[in-house]
Amino acid sequence: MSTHLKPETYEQQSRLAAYCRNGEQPALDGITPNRIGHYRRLVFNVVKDALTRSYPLAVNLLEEEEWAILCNDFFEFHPCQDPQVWKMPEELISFVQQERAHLCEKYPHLLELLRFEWKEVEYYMMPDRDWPIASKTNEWQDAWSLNPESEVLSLEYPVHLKNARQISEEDHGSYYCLVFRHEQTGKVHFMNLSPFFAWLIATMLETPVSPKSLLPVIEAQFGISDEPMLREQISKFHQKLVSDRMIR
Amino acid sequence: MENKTKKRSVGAMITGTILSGALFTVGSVNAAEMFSYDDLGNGAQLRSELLDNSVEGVKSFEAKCGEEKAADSKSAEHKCGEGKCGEGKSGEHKCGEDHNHKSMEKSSSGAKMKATMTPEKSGAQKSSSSSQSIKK
Repeated sequence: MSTHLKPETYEQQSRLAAYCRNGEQPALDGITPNRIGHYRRLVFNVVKDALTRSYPLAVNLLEEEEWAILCNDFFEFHPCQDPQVWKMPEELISFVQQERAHLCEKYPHLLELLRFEWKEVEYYMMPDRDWPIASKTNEWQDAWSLNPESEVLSLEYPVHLKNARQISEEDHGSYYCLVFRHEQTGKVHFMNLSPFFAWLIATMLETPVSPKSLLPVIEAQFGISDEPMLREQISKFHQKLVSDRMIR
Repeated sequence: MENKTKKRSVGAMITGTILSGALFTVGSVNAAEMFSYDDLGNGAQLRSELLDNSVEGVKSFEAKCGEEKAADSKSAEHKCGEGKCGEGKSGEHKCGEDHNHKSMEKSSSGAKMKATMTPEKSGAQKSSSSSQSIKK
């Protein structure tokens, strides 16, 4: 309970908040019966709008009634923890995971889709991370200066490659997606990666090492021993990442 | 490398960095697959591709005032707390209002809600409807 409010004020506010969420007529002082409903409508629209804008692919996946009920139930039953409205949709993920098992069963890739969609919001809104200016380097012998606002996602469904309505259990497997925020535009970019490049980037993000120094590991774990070919492929990949501002 | 399919818990579906090459499913792939990558573009471009339409800017990250304005990706504008939010000028759009003026109705028990749902996408994969009831 807030220490800045009188107990009766806090009680009134709590009743109004409860009414906005559950629609049950509250005993409130000073309300106009035919107007109080607007509060509920307006607040619900804010919540539903935020959810719909955050998860357009999930909206597309679910049947309209399923999405509408999910929004309504989330609004009514989930006690949101974060006071910032833009963060509120993230809590839908745990709500679905914990309270909507039937949806997760019907759509095995729903949770992953929600997490994937939230990644864009998370990266778009995240505080800037320091990215030191890198000197001219050799992409084979030197460690890469990777965008610190990036991550390799490991996915079990190709939610980044296919329309979610077309994904089935046959698609279950291992997929890797690089997500990073463009340092100039601020837009969040995605890149589908082969397992090898996913491993390479993930490794380099964790520890700055050169591709050359990873050669023994690459040969042992990926069976690649053709160094000239490897250098050529890595060089092409490096150029692409430089042009996309994933590497300085 | 043997093809390994790791069954992870739901909470670990998306991990940050995975350092062990053994965790990366490679299987028997040719060189082209081993060194493949595909630029999927930014979020708006990816969504357009996945939804098979040309609507850009479906997603915005700033909380707006509950309005559902089609094809407007300028999310930095018209935030809650700015502009007309909270003002009561009749005839003007207020926070949380729907542009289509489809209202949420409440049943006599007060527990039934009717609201609009206007996703900002063409919904080519899905039959669309401008409004629907939320019933419990």
